[in-house]
Amino acid sequence: MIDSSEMLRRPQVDWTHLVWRRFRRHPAALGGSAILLFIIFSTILVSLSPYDAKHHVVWDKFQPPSPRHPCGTDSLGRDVLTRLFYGGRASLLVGFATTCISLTIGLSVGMLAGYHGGLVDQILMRATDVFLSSPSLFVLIVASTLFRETHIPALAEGQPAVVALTIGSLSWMTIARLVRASALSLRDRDFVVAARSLGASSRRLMTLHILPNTLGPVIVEATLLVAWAILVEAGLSYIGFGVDPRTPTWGNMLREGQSYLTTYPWLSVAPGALIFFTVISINYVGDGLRDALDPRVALGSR
Amino acid sequence: MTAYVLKRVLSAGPVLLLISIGVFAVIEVAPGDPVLRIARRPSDVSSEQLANLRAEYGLDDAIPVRYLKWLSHAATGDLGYSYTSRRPVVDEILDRLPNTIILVGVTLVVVVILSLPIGMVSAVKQYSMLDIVLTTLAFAGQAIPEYWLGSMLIWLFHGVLASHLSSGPLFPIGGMCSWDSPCNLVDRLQHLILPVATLAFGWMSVYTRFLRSSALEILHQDYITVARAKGLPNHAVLLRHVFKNAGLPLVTLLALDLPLILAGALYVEIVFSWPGVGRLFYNAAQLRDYPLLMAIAMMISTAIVLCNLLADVGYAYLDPRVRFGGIQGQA
Repeated sequence: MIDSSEMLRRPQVDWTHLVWRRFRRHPAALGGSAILLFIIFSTILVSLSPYDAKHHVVWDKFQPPSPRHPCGTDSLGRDVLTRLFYGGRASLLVGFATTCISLTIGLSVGMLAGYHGGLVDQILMRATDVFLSSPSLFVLIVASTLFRETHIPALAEGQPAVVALTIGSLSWMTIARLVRASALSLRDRDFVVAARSLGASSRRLMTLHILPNTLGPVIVEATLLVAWAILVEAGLSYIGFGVDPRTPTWGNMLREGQSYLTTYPWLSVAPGALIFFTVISINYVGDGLRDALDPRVALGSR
Repeated sequence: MTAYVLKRVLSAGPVLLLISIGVFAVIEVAPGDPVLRIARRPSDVSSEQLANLRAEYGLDDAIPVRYLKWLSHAATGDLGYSYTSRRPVVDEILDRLPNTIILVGVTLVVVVILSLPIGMVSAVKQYSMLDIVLTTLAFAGQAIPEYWLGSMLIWLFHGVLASHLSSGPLFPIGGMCSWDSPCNLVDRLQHLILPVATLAFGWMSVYTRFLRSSALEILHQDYITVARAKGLPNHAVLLRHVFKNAGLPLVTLLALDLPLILAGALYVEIVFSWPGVGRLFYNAAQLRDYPLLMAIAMMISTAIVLCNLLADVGYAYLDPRVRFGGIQGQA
């Protein structure tokens, strides 16, 4: 795949290759990746569906699963399968956006606290403690209406971006602690001291020398965070404090199906099953990455 | 040890204070006029009357002023009156709190009783068929949302099974008691089965996985080899050495996971119409009942901070390295 001269020039390629070789050994992680890719591609390709996510066909309502509608139709005659994958767009988007926000906050807070130490560390870590001790789901429920009266369309209440922002601002703490701990142990290592004595700025030291060495556990944590965010978003939407009910998401579809639980169960079975399969796949991928990124796990063993 | 405990206790105060400021700000900054809810039919009320109401409820003060008022009242145990029921917030919460404690308490007992042996068996029979099945189940338990599992159980017992059974549904699916029979112990227990099962499944999976990995780690320690070498029978090794050492950290984990458990309980209470604190909060959020929201959020934060404190102190008590300052707390 890669010839040796190129490997000599670019050692990183070797690292990703190594991680991939370790990751490959996890059948569950590979299966999880496959399911995840399938779901992601389906949410992209759903535009090809013959049905529309929002078009009502009243005479077709509550059709049980059939070849024409593999997952049945809902109370307005909309095709459930089509809506599931349109819903997946919003749900996955919230999951990834939340993780990006958490990563940004968590990496900055953890890196600043660990690198500078002293008072900065004290203040930032006490702030982290405060966030960790707050009842996050309860705060999220209250915070869901925060942006109700803004005039910026992207920030209106119930927009996926807003939901991601609120969830993300309450879920960066674990990453901050992870990064702080490794930054604290790395900042006085010889390679950092050497770079500093060569005149590297604090910023350069943090981003180019310390950050890459903290990434392993952070990548694993971020992966699991995607799954967690999807669960939280679906939960909030399910109880009516998440994404706007007019946007199909898995949580909103569960909410709609709730009233027809015993009469038209397919409305509840399908979205929940998709949440479940997405989350379990991401968790398995995270598990595989944990082993693949852990330098202590030898290539030969397992 | 005393100094360590004292330090931890003292740091809990500021944390709670900061949380209360944060939660208060989020509740107050969020738009939505509670007066419109208090007035029940706002269209019939003149704007002058609304302004009077606002003054009466102290809503026209600046947010910091209102916070200080709330704080000074809360310090004396007065958490205000619910906007919607007009009863003291404390009474509202005390009405519901026992129900949540019953739900969470019974689930806790079930979780501990089941996950200890499951985790141990998984570790002792590592990579056996049984272990693979149990580990997969635990993975599933972590991925399955409580709100969906609850719905699926309702569908299973009331949609699928009920139509095949002539005697009617097996378990009730809502509330704490049946409306048509005396609310005795049997009736209560029947109402508990599905909510507890829903809450316990996700929770158990975390603990069985934790126990499995910590038991595995202990099984490879030298002192286990020593215990075996001196001729201790297998069950004694497992019970006295592995079980005890693997089980103890569970107490810490239990205390630290409280926020997650309460979040799960909130969903379960909503799905199964369980009249607990979580559902009270959910209803209060829909009606923008500020005093009730604030009181419940702070009650839960206090519980979380206390549990963290207990976990840290308990950990220090069990681990001499922390007690004597070898390790600086847990960041």
